[in-house]
Amino acid sequence: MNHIEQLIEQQVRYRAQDQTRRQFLKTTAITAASGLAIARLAQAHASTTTLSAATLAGSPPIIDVPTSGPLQLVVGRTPTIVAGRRTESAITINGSLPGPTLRMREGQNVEIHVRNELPDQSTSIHWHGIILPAPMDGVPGVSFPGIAPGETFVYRYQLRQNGTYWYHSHTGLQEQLGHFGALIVEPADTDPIQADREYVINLSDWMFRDPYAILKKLKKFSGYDNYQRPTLTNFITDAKRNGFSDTISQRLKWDAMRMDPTDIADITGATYTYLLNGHTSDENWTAIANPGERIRLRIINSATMTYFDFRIPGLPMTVVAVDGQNIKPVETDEIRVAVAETYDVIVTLPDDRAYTMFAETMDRSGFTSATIAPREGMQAQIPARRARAMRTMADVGMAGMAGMNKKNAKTKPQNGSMPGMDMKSDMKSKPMNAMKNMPLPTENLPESIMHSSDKHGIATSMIAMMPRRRYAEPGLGLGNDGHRVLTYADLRCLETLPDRQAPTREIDLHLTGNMERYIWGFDGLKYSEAEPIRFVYGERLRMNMINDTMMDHPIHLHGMWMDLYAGGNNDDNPRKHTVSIKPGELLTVDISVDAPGRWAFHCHLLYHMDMGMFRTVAVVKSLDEEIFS
Amino acid sequence: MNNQLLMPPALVGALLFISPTANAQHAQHAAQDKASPYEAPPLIEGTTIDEALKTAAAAPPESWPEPIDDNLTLVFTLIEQFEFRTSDDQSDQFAWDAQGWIGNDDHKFWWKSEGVAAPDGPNDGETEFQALYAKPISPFWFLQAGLRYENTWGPGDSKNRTSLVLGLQGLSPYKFELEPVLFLTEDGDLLARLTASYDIYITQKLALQPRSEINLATADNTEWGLASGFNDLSMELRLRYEIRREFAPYVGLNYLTLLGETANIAQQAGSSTDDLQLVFGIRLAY
Repeated sequence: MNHIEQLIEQQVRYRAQDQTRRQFLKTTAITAASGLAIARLAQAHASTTTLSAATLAGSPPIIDVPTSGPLQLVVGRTPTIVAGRRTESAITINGSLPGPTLRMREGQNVEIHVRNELPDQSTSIHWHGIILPAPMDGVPGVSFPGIAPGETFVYRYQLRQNGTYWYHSHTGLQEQLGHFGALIVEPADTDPIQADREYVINLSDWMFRDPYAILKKLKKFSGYDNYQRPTLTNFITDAKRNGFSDTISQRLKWDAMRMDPTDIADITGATYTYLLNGHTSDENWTAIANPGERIRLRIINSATMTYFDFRIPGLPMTVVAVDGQNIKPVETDEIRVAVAETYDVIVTLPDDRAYTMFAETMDRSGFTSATIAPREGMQAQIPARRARAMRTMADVGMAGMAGMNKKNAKTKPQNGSMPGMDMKSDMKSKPMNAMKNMPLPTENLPESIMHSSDKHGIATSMIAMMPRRRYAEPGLGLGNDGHRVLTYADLRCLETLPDRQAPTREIDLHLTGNMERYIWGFDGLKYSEAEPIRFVYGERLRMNMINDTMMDHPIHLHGMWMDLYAGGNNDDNPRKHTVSIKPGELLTVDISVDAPGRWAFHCHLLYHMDMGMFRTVAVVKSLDEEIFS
Repeated sequence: MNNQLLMPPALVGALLFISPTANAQHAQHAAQDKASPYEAPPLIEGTTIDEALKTAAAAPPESWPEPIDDNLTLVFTLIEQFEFRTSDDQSDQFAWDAQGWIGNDDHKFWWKSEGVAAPDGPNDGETEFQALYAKPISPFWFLQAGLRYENTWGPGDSKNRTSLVLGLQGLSPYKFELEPVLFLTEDGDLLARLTASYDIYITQKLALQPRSEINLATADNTEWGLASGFNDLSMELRLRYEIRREFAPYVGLNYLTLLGETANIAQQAGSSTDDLQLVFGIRLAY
């Protein structure tokens, strides 16, 4: 154990004392004072139920993190009422689900004492998207040992950024049971985003079952929770719409690949109750907004497995920040919010009536909604859910391969003269010695590539033959409703950031999985089978991610930003902590490797991460150094 | 709410990150130092960049947990058939066909059990049990190897035998569940069996499953009434309703027929060579 690790162990062994308990009581008092109007609604709800002493889910308290002295957070189990139903399994922070909304300020040094009152399991808090020292990142086994029952860990870091973020457990499947909350960092200077009021819109998926029980089902039954499969009954509907022969040939193609085109979400509305700020649609949580006011909505997808399509019918949204980072304002009507992403939007009510904030799941198996209105008790119509879409050949990386017959598709093309195609093969993390330190192009990157002959072994049930750029596509089931949908191509950072050198090294990383056995990984390997990925401190690194699965994956890098290539120029590329990669997509990010230490890198679909789609990124001095295996 | 008023001005000055000019200067300076061209990294107090880089190059302490556990050992049980069979020609039967495994992604102990018994009338029946080691050999296929124990009983002789088993189990293109298996009996006979099934979902919970099994022997075996060549064929159709994925009652039809010389042997012994059965049962999984 080295010096840093010893220091970290000391942070863990800190135990709660009387003084800290007093501090805890103080912060709860602040909390109570800053409660929203919705608290009254919640109380009204409570009085109508006969459920015995339990906390109501929703409308988490807002805590201003003190500028001096510690903030106390307590992780524990609290009987909670979710969707009108009592549950004993909720994991709460300071008794609330979601956890309190923490407000910090850029430049502030925070000290947060997290005490674990779970009797039977370790816990952790990861500050999602926050740039901080590696040992403070909160990933058990990577940054620190976790927080054992009864222990307190002291997080200390300085905020170097501002914007909308969130925090959550990085231990097991605790996040599924409510262990998450919003984290808002106010700018040190004047906020370029001016608003009259602001609200956190925290989207999540709740289950009344044991998350591990569901995980085991997913491992044992392919398509366990999918009740929108292709059937004989919907064959008739599809055939009426798309023609008999098209429908039959499409279905045969999918069956030939042993894939299901309706495999969009692993866990669906059959199991989940979808929540907005902890509330179901029925509870009609309301954000108060007077006509003409600029309202900032901080939309956070805190779900474990659910992509939400967010819109406010009748109200255009101006997107001003993504993943906490300001962008050039862009107006849109609908946003697909990938798991772990955040979007800040400005909306203005044009008239004195209510509008519905509607968050529909990507697979259309469920939704949650809330109201934005001038007064409490108002409600607009809740839109009908749209029909679930089906995956297409583009989703298996075979778009643009029409005309190639099956035999040809399996072999590499004869030459590299096909337009827009780059014939490079996988380089994994080997340095390009010949071209070391040669700057790579940053614009007009190849639109598509051919997959190498590596099929990534038995843990990979498909490869994308010809992965291509899809950043300008709205995504599955979007774009056909006659309104605008935000895509990554719309994102341009507000100000040019200082670190935009051309990268000098690139690595390819394939997102792989086997749906049949519910094995997930990168390059065909689960975390337990793989070596850490090495980044070199000080380098500007390019990562090309290729999605060889049929699902969308939100990939999250801890500790460093990913500058997303979205068709624009190098100066404009948006900075993200989580990038969503569509099936069959080739997506490129450039990374300023400026944070030494061990970091987590993973798919933010919780069950994918837990089943192997996870890596340690080791930011080291050089690639020649010995590394652990 | 007003904590911004309390913020020490010194901290504001620390925000070089958002100042392009400051950073450019810093980058130039850093380049001369051959260190990172970026903003000074966040470190915990009292530690250096070198220490942080060294920490990253080494394994985390042994005492720390793994961040995830991606190789769970699981127990799976599927009772595909648990049913009552009735037909015009023969006595009613009770039958089951089940399998399951215990293991992780890489190695599994896989068992299979099936049997049929006629509780009424002349008590006869047969069962077999397989104990196998299974290993995934491709994205959709397992290789299985182990032992099979069979026994039959009835008014005549009861008998049993043990065989070596080598088989495959998996999903073929077009989503057929296939189980091609070879058996080498203790008498040295080589037998083969192919089982195939397919799920047709009519609605999200109502599924029709055609299933077929064919057996083949490479040598005559009078004791077991088998002749070289194809021995028997079953063609089955079950309509199940998945109240849950794990719990589905069903009704179905089974057509069983003996084939080739094996059918002749049965005919000479006065047994029937085919049968059409109506089945009722329940499919269970855990």
